[in-house]
Amino acid sequence: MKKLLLLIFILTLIIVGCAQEPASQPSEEEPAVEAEVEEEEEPAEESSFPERPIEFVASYAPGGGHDTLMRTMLKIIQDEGISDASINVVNKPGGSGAVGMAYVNGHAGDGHYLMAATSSLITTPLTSDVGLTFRDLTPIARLGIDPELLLVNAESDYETLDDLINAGKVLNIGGTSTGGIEHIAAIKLQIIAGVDINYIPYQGDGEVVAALMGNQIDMVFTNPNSAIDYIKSGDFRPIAITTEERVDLMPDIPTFKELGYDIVVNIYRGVMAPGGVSDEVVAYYTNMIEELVATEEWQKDYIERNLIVEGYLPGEEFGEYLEEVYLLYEETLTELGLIK
Amino acid sequence: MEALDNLSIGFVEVMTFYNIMIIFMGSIFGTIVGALPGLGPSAGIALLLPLTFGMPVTTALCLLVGSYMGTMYGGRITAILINTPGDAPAIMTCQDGYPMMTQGKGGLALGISAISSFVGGAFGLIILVFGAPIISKISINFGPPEYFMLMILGLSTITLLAGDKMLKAALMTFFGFAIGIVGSDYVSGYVRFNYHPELIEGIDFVAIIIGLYGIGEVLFNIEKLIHLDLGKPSFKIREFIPSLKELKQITMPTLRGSVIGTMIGILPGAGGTIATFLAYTSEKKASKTPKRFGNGAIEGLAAPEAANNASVPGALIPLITLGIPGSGGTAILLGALIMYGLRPGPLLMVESGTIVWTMIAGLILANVILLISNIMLIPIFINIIKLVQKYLSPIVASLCLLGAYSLNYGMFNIWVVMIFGVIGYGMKKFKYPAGPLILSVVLAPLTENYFRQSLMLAQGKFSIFLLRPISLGILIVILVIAVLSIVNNYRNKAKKRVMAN
Amino acid sequence: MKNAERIFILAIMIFSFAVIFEGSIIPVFSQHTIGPGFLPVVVGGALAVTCSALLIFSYIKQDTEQDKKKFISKEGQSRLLIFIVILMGALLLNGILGLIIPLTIFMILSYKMIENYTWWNSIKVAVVSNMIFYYIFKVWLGVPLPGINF
Repeated sequence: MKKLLLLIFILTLIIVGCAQEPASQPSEEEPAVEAEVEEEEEPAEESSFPERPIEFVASYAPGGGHDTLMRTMLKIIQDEGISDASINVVNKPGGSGAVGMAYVNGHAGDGHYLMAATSSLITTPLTSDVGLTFRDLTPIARLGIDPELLLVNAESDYETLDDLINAGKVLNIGGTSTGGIEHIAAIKLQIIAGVDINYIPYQGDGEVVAALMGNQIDMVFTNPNSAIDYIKSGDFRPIAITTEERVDLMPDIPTFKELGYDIVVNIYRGVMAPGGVSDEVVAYYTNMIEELVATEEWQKDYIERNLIVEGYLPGEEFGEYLEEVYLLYEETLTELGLIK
Repeated sequence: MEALDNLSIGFVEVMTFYNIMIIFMGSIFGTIVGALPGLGPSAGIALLLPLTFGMPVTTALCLLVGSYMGTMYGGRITAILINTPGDAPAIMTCQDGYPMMTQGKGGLALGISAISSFVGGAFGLIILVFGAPIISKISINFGPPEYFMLMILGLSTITLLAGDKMLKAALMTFFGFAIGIVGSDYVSGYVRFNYHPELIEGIDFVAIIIGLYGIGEVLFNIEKLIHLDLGKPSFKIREFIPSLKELKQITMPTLRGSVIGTMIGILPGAGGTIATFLAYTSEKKASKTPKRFGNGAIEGLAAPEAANNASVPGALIPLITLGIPGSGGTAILLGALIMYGLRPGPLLMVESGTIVWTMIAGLILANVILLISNIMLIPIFINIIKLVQKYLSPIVASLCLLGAYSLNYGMFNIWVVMIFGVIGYGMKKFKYPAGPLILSVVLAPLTENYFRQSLMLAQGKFSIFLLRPISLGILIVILVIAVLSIVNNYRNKAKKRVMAN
Repeated sequence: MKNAERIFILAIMIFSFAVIFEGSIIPVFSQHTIGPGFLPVVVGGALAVTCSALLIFSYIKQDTEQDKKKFISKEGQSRLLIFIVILMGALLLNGILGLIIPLTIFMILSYKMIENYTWWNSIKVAVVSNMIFYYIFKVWLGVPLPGINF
């Protein structure tokens, strides 16, 4: 009896263990896949990376923009067989993205980490002392840009932007991080449109949306991706969008510009690797992303579904773009008094 | 009964041989991962996630929810066997489970906790099936002020109900809070104690648990050269199946624990943990013989275990109705749903109802499978410990350190475990309770966050906590508990003085 | 026991001062709400007050049975010291030998030196349990354990 039970126990261990194994070992087919992608240089060395599972790091809680980006990328990479490497998505929420950045930066020189990057990559180090800047990380690619939506609960009395401007009291507005893009948009709303606001940072888009659902706050700035279902279900009423022109997928939502207020703030979505990684790692990820953005699934499942404006830029150009954005943010944030 | 119709559709989807096998494997996997110190539900689901690619969505979800439920069953195993809870909700299981183990009743402790886990899980699932839409409507009325008050309720009850050790418990609560606020602050992004990059994220509370309980106990046993004395390996069923009398004894505590777990488990962040603490303290307060608690009272084991497992379906309610994850484990489940092309949110039940109901049916099935498999696993676990009982302390120390390493793949948490091991040893010697410290560490960042958000919502006015009915109600409960327990304490002391005279 | 407990409380008290100091150098208040330094100052203060209360009570109150006991026996002390020294030594080896091998050495030495088991028994238990750990953590769960792995 004892032996039998032990045997069952060990068997289960082995069965589950075996099932797990293929995922945790570097794939053998990889060189073949890489070879197809016109990159012929040293396939032998290419196969040495990754040596263990890669971590896709999202600096916000699941359900947020970072998380959706990393999970969609992962799904397409696995479905289309772009890479056979074992990849896990890891959430490191908190500190307006600082926790995730510190986590990735803590693994400098180790290419097994790829981080989703949005505006907080630049704004958080600017507004608080986190001990690193975006220059400490290696830019891999910019994948797209996405706009911000101003929304109110459908039950509220506010129908248009003018209603908000004439509310006659300080309005509570929710967004994700202090000094982040939504905060900047909110402050612009105050300065340019004259809406009296009090900004409340929540952790992740999911919480922001829930707060508006429960009427905890008057309005929110959030990306279309987190809000679209609630707009469709009639829970939320969109007021305006921060793009230059109306977005094809939501043609009914006016832009701030056409309402007469020059609020155009968009954020980029990209990916970064830790600093000091080898060229081999950069090439590996660049190939992976190039293949990824060319797939139809990417267009359908990410760009269209999340209402993102396309804008792929490879590593070095993305780096230059980040420098430009940095200057812009530094100027705006100093002007707004957010840089201490 | 629309819910039942939907559920039966779900069961039709689940009830294939392949799916049942998958749930079985997931459950066993989850149990073992949950039993390892340092690895909890998040790790269990994350480890299985890559395996699910290529599986049909329903099968994949069955595997994940099976292992999720499994980790909740598994967390209690090491808590009882070696006094090392695998995750925060299992802390209260140590309180009476480990004393039972040292008394040679470890098998019974595992048996009782498996049964109350099952009842708690089943209770939570019933609420999930019939009450999800209503509960989610209520839960969105909970804003930061209400959450803040609930955190304070948890912290103050554990301090106030510590009886004559109230001051020591208060010291531990403040100590834990001070440790918990190390690291970056959610609202402003400021990093406190920014002396080491690992500190930006704060000190991982799982490392603190492993140190205080696991290593602390090891050091104590090494000093006293204590060995467990459990006798030779054996397979008597009586040793782990509770008698009718014992079952009767745990019926009410289990049910009360289930109710608390389902209600509090819905809270995002630390619902399960607070629920187990509240279940334990209220059971101790309700008992006619509170002295037995902490020395192997089976009620004190059953109630928090039921609460722990009842919180699993509870945490799923905000996930499937609103797309908001209520715990680390459901956060990963949310990610999985997104990856399978589902969009958690208000339209999930409308657009992908069948899949959600299949997932719920899978959970129900997993709960049954887990009860059976966990009871069958008891003799294995007990006999492994019996086999090495004379060699246990260094083995536990190594296991704890490996678990600590796996938290973040680095040495930092190993040193954290060592430091808190020494602190835990001191606390054990001087009789300082560890529960308040851990609860405080877990809740500190959330409490601070909700406090600040509340003030921001009120635009700086502290009156917000009094103006909202739910938060005011919780505040009144806190005050009543405070007054009652202080009066009680005073009376007990007076009684003692009279007795002494 | 009493003096040992006082040292324990004093150590926590020193930590509370560090927390208060850390809180006081960052903003305590910010617009409409408390700043990141508010809770460190308040909680650190509460901790310091509780510590002092316990310290004062330890002088006022009558000694309980627990207080009269000796904190640690001589043998217990030496066992504990040996255990911690071996464990620390093993952990410091992680840069060279990884984790599994030092932990095996630690286990062998602690069985031999503290519990006085035979070499054969010590080695047997240490090696077998660490092989199981290696299988569970490295092979099964894919945890990247450091250094030399066999």
